This record gives sequence, C-alpha cells and structure tokens, in this order.
Amino acid sequence: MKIDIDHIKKQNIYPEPSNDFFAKMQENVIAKVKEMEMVKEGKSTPVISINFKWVAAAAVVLIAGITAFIGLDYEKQQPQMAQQSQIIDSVYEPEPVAKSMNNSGEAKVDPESKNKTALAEYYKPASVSNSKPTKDLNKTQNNIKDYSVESYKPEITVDKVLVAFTPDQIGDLERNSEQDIYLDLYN
Amino acid sequence: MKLSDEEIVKLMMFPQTIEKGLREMMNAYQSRLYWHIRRLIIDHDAVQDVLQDTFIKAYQNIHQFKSDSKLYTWLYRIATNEALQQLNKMNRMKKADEDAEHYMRNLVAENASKEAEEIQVVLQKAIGTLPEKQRLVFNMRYYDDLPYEDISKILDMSVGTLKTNYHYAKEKVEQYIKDNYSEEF
Repeated sequence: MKIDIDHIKKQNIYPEPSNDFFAKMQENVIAKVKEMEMVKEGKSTPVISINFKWVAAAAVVLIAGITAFIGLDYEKQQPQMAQQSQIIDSVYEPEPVAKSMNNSGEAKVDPESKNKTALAEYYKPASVSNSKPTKDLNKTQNNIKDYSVESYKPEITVDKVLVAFTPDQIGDLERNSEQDIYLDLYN
Repeated sequence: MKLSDEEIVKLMMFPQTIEKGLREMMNAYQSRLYWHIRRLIIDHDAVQDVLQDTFIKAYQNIHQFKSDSKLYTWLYRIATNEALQQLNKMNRMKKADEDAEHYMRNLVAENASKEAEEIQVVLQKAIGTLPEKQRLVFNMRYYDDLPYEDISKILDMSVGTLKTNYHYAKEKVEQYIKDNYSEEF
C-alpha cells in the first residue's frame, strides 16, 4: 500500500494552549522588555545619581564647616575670663562701709576680721584645687582676694553674683567648670 | 483593527510606541510561531520559553530589520534559531543510551492529545525521525504552506536545495507510515 501524505488530512495532534496562554505570554514579554530597559537606563545614568549624592554630601560638609568656622571665630572674639572677672570686680569694688550698709539696707555690724579670715580661706589661690590654673585666673584670684578682704559681705549670695554675669560669661563659666569648682560658687 | 507589517514595524521604531508595536506584532504572529516551534520541540513548556525569547529577540533587534524583507520571514528565522538552540539543549539532556529518533517518538506520544487520530500521531513520529534541517523544511512546506522563496530566506538555503530536502523528507515519512501504521492496527 502506498502512502501519500498529501492525501492525509492535515490535523494538529497536540492540545490547543489555554485561553489565557497568549495573554500571559505577552505580559511576560512586556515585563521582561521593561526590565531590560530599566537596566539599560541604570547603566547609562550612573553619573547623575552619584553626582547628586556627592553634591548633597558636599553641601552638608560645607555648611557644617562654615558653621564651625563662624563659631570658632565668634569664640575668639569673646573677652577673656580675666577681663570678665574685671567686670565682676567692678561690681564688687571696695566701698566704704557706710555705703554698703546703705545699699544693703541693713546695718551689718559683723566684725570684718572674721570675714577677712573666712574670705581668705574661701578665695584660696588657684594652686590648691585647680589643676590647670591660668595666668589670668591667678590674676583674677589675686584681684578678688585684694578686693574681697575689704568688700566681702556675708549677705552677698550666689544669685547676686550670677545676676552680674552676662549670658556669655555664664556660658564661659559652664565651659570652665574647673574654675567653678575652684571658686566654690555653689557651696 | 489588524495592522499591516509596515505599520507594526513603524510603531516599533519609536520609544513612545514600541510597546504598542510589540503587542500588535505578538497578536499577529504568536499563534503561527507557536505551532511552528511546537512541531519542532513538541514539549509545550519548552515552546512557551522559546516563543517568549523569540519576541524579546525581535524587540531587541527591530532596528536591524530590513524593510525590503517580510516581517513574518524575519520572525520565523528568529523562532527557528531559538528552537534549534532549545533542541540542542534537550538532546544534551536526554539519556546517553537513548537515540534521537527514539527520544522524539516518545516525546510525540507523551504530548499527543487523546482525541488525535492514530495516523496523525504516526505521521508526527515519522517527522520526528528526520534530521533537523529536513524536519524544518518539511514542516514549513507541508504544514505552513510557505513558498520555497520564503523558506530560502528563513533557512538561508537555495530553493533547489530546499526542494531536494523536501522530496527526500516526504519519501522517508511515507515509508515510516507504511512500516508503522499497518502495525498499529
């Protein structure tokens, strides 16, 4: 028997793909193509993304540097403690006993000799407790010592001392905590 | 509304419309290419991968498409190359002691629909015994009714060689059916 395939009906023996097969296939292709495009764009624009980050970082560093520079420069312009202490000293200038009594409004008859002794112990030289005495500090102590012998009154409180300070001076006091300890202002 | 090949290619030439053009191209040729690949590879899952790769390759290389050639011959060429690559992979994966003919016959039997006519199944098994190039020529001529000129552009073979290949392929298939169809019944 001779077989002629041209006389055989052409039929497909394999099952037809499902209804959504081609739709899913198209979505897979589109998704893959978009992924490839994103990768291509990522490779072609690395400079822009990197530059933006570096620019932002450089801007932050620059601002921080300028701020620090201004802060340092500002600190240099602040008067020294010694000068500030002069202001303090100017508040506590030796006054005649009569004047101080008038100002305080009270007649203090405490013997000054006792006060002098107390003050001498109170305002000890820097070498006793302060580990890093400065020249200005020593001068300050001497000045205080000189004035304090004559003008110290027991009723002068810490509040009065602090009121005389400007905010900048208080800031310096906070930074120089060792000096605070030496002066024993918070005793 | 179905677009012409020229309109599809034009859409794919511009970034703004390339996705639309790709979808139109898939709508126009996905079924034909699916069966072309299926008759070569037979396994449905493998065919799905090859079909997707075909359209992705077409997308990537659309700018190399020459307008003087036909879009479907260009797509057939891509699909054929991808299918042959897949066939090589499958041949490497088959058992070492199993010959290619036996492997293809088993593949046809496993994938054939239960409603398929026996003579059609035997015909497919016969085609599976052909060498790859002959199988390609036979499928495109017998099932797709492609002109020899178009097959020549797809396979890069002369018309004369194609005709010779088809003649020998047809004889082998008919002899196989004669030897095996009578045995089935």
